[in-house]
Amino acid sequence: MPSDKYKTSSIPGLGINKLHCVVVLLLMLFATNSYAAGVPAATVISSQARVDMTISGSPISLFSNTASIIVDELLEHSLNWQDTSNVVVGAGQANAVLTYQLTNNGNGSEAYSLSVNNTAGGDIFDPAFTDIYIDNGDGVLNTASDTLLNPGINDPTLAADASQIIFVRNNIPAGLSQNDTGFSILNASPRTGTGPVATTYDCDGTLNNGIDGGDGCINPTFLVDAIIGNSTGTQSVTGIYVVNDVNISINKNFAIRSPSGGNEPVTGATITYTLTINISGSGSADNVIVTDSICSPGPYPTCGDTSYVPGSLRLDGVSLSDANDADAGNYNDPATTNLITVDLGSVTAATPTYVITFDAIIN
Amino acid sequence: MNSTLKTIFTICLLCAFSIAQAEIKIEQTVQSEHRSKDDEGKTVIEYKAIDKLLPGDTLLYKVVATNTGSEPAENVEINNNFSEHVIYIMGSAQSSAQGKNTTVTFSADDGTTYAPAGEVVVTKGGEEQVATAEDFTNIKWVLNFELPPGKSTTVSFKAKVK
Repeated sequence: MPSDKYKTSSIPGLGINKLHCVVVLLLMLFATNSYAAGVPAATVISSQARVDMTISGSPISLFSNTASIIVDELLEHSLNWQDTSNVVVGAGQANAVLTYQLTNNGNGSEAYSLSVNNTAGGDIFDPAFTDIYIDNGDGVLNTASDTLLNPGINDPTLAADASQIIFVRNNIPAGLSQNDTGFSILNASPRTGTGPVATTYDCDGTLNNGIDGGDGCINPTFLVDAIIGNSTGTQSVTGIYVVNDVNISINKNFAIRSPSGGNEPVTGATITYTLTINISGSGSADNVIVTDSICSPGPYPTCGDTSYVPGSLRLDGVSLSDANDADAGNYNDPATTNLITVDLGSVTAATPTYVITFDAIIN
Repeated sequence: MNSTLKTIFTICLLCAFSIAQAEIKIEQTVQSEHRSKDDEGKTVIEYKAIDKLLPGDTLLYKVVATNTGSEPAENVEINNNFSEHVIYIMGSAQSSAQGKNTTVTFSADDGTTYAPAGEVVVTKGGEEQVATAEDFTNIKWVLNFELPPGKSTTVSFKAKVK
């Protein structure tokens, strides 16, 4: 049955009724924006014809009724997993983050319900759901500044064409093996409802809890309905974790040789620092770079109290030049950083230990 | 009744007075296009009263002018504006005056000037170019015949909701 959203003159003999006089005036007052999703929901589209003629030699101009129609809300959204590849995690890791983007492709403001399913199968392990955060716009998870989702209370509401980054955190079980995968499925549904294409949620004239998308009623005045689009209401996207079973630990020691041959930390004494890197597990890690500062906290924390001994940097007993060149190490590059840097590259437990040493003298 | 509504009501009374004097009845209707498949799989297009309306839907606008007086109406011109929320569908303008001469022209400057489609010019980026359907603001039918007493003429066009 046609609704009241198609309205023509209701006062016999009058070309324009009061409501539409007001509507036309409002349309003249407010400029509208252009949306990729089309004309915004609740927009009134008005048209009026004018007829000019001559009767008995006299020119006459008349106006028709104003035909006004109201655009309904299209419920259309998309959800995409934003991580560029499987998220590498370690067994037992807490709060491993997956990143998604939710976009409102419809033409009206809509609130979305979010949920996570970690038990769909097809993977090796089930992540344990922790929480969902709504990004504050910088695209980076920060639990202090982003919003912790409280489902049904602070569900994200997106304007037409708007997008929102969503972070899902899960705990990774212990006891996993290299390359084990775990799936985490994020579901996003409009609060208005779900269903096959063209399913209609009729506006009953009231907003549900005052929330857009709380029911099929984005605008109770104009009885704007909500209609399911091609997304059929629910979008579910899988994020994937993959286990890299590699553990890297680093230990730092030092030894002092004073000019007198003892081990007193006196002026002129040499401190030999030893960094021991241990690799275990069945996985690998790439681009492993070890840095240490001559000024770093330690027995002599004030920079300037010690000075690096040029040419003292070694990896597994092999001398490394101080310049940033073909070998794996360098000192003070870029300048003034007072850092020793050793690039170990890709590491596996096949080489379980790396030892880096360098000397500093007490000034 | 506030002052704004009083003003509007006064304007509307003037509309009624003019209509009564001219003895011409003008009615505009708008329907939406519905496509379906028949038993043979052929597409069936129907135009129905609007129940739901979404971006991309096609609308059919009709204007019926009826001479309810006793004198013929001459030099009849029917002008319809396009809402900024719709785009005229090229070639969809129709007139019921079969076998009679009706001229259809378009405007891209809110009805100040008119020309046939393909001859309307707009200026974009400092350069003149032929207007597209998105540029059209008005459509006008010029009936090159009298509308006798008791007779009606119908004009129509289609537009797509942006």
